[in-house]
Amino acid sequence: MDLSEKFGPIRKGLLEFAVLRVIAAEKLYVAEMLQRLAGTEFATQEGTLYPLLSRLRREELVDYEWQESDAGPPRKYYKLTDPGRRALDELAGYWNHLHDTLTRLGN
Amino acid sequence: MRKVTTINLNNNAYQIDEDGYEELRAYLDKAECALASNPERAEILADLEQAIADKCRLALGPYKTVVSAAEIERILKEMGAVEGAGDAESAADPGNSRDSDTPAAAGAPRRMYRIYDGAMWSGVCTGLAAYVGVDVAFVRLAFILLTIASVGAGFLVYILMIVLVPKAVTPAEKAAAHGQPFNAQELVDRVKKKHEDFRSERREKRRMRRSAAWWSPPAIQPPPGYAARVTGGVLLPLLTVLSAVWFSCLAIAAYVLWQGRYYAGFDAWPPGSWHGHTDFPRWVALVAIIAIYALLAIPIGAGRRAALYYANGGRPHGWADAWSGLLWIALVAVLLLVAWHQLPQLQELLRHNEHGLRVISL
Repeated sequence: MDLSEKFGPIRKGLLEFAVLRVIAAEKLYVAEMLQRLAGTEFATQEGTLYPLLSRLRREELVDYEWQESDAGPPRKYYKLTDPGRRALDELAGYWNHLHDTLTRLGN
Repeated sequence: MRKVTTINLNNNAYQIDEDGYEELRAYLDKAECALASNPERAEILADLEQAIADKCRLALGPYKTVVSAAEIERILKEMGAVEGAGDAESAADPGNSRDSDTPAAAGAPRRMYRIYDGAMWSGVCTGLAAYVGVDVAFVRLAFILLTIASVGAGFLVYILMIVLVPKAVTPAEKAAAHGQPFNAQELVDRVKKKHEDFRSERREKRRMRRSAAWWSPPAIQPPPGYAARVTGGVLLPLLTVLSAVWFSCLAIAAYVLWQGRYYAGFDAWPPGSWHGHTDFPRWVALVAIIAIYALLAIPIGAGRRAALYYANGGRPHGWADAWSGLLWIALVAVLLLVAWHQLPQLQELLRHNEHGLRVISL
């Protein structure tokens, strides 16, 4: 059974959760986010991440600020907004609930 | 020596190989299409351009000022296909969107197209040059030499290629015209896809046969694929010839029927079964002829319309209309002219036949 293929759509759906989680820890720009995610099951690419971040910003869950960088042009550093933090708590709660349900079902 | 193009990525100038430029443009065009309904399209595109620019900068050094096509290809592969609105729903089907979009965006398989950029006449030579990867001057020279050596057959091949090889219209097609030569895996995928296409096409056709409309362009129109366009180009002349011949048959049959009464022995037309019934109404025979004509002409016409649509690369009207229309008119004119000259013999033949039939029925 190919787990990575089987859970592909689920991982895809959880990407938003993973990104919010990564941003919650500290202010990051996109290349750093990709690096954080790279080693994990949620590894992704700019082509996916930029549209996702744009939507999250439209939903006012994240926001960015420009910061000068020592190499190259200024960068957009993303951070969580207050509604974003609440949304992340909700997501985490629901995820735990799902996990509990799956565990309980066997007993 | 290779040509380079200077581009402006989010206000940074970069020099890249010409092939790389084509790929980059195809990628950004595709991204723009994917984001068409996204209100923040401009900002996302600027972000993507900036990300590409950052990666380009990493590929350059103090003594390296040009980003090669291979590096562009690697960068675009790293970027990944741009996914629509960033929705979970649209992104929930990674297998589908990835597999079909990525190769077209970042390094399409090489296919033969006619390329109008830098073409002398029809883009056959430029397309062929891009396909085999040599300078276009060699291809033109080869065509001229071939034409001389083969006493004109080379020119015929050229005309045939104008008809059969589709024109590169979209940026993705232009990129595919220069793209990578396809490998075995690609071939297997294509055969698989063609099989699926064929099956769904057959299903579609069955559905269409049941419905009243014989053929009308699909309502939602993704541009037809390469195979569809080539098939359209092959079928169009065949169906045009068939249609013209069949129409000429109708015209000649109707004419012979109408003129029949002026010739002795033709009162009982059509010959054979109705022999002897001189009062057999002519118009019934005419209606029967037209019905027989329509029986074949409707499917031929539907097929021709479909072939036209695909030969025009998914547009209802285009260049294929002109030449197939001309071919049709010219063929009908020639056939009717020949028939006009041969009519006495034709009638002689019919009369002879009638005589024969009369003998048989006696």
